[in-house]
Amino acid sequence: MFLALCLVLPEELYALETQRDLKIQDVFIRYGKRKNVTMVELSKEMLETYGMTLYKSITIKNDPEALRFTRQCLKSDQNGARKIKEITDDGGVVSAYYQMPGREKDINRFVLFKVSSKQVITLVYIEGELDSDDLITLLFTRKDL
Amino acid sequence: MKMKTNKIDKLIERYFEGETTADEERQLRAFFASDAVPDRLNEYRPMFAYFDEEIRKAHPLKMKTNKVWQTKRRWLYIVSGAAAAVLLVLTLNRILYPTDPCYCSDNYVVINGRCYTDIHTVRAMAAKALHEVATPVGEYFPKTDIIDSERHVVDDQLKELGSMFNDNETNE
Repeated sequence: MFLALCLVLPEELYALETQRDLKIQDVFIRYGKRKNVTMVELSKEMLETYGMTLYKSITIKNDPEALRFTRQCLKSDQNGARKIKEITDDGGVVSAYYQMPGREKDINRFVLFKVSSKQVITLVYIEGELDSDDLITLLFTRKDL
Repeated sequence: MKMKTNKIDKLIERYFEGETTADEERQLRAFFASDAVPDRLNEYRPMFAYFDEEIRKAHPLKMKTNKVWQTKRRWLYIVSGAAAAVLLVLTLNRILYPTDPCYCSDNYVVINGRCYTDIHTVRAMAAKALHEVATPVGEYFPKTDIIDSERHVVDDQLKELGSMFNDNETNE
């Protein structure tokens, strides 16, 4: 039976494993396939150069309900997270970098969030050996993935 | 019934002649252990019951092994049934809710609900999201910004004050 599960559901099991404990996973699940939404996933050898093992991002345009939901998820995931940066406007987070508590030793997890003045939400989840300094360098040198 | 008792009579006859096989003796023991023994043959019942008991005592392991095997077989049926049920549910789930083929890929982008696995598109979209979320340096260090802007305001005000004083001095 176990063998059958392994044969039939490898990707389902992997999907359950990644981000399992984070509420932001619901943002990807709920909005990932909707209109005006772009969702990306990169993993394994594609990211080795950057010290990452998983990259996921979602960009949602003009959806106030999605913005409320994403902020709720971020708030709930903040428990135990390290705030690298957080900017709020009118009581709502507009830009934030959080380092989430790791599930494995030497594997760091980051959640990046930004809502632009045009109400475009961008949420990024990164997992890998890179540390917060590597992440900041990556963000500001604007390298292509 | 009569045919059966005739057969038993013949078997008993052969038994006492020492001509019965092990299987035939087993049949005799089973017959005398049942409720179908006619009164006229009742006298043989204790004898065959005794043999039956002795055989049981002599081969308890075989009986036990049979029971263990039966239990194992029952469990095998249960586990096989459960596994078949799980596979059936999973297969039905796949048929009813087919997984988007792109999720089988490690790298993909979904744009407006459509999935693309072309690696250049995936990379481009990943980079775009990352650049979007990367706040410009000025915004990343807001305190420095505030200090700089405040310094400009103070400098401007000092200049204005300075020019006012200079004007006053000139007028005097």
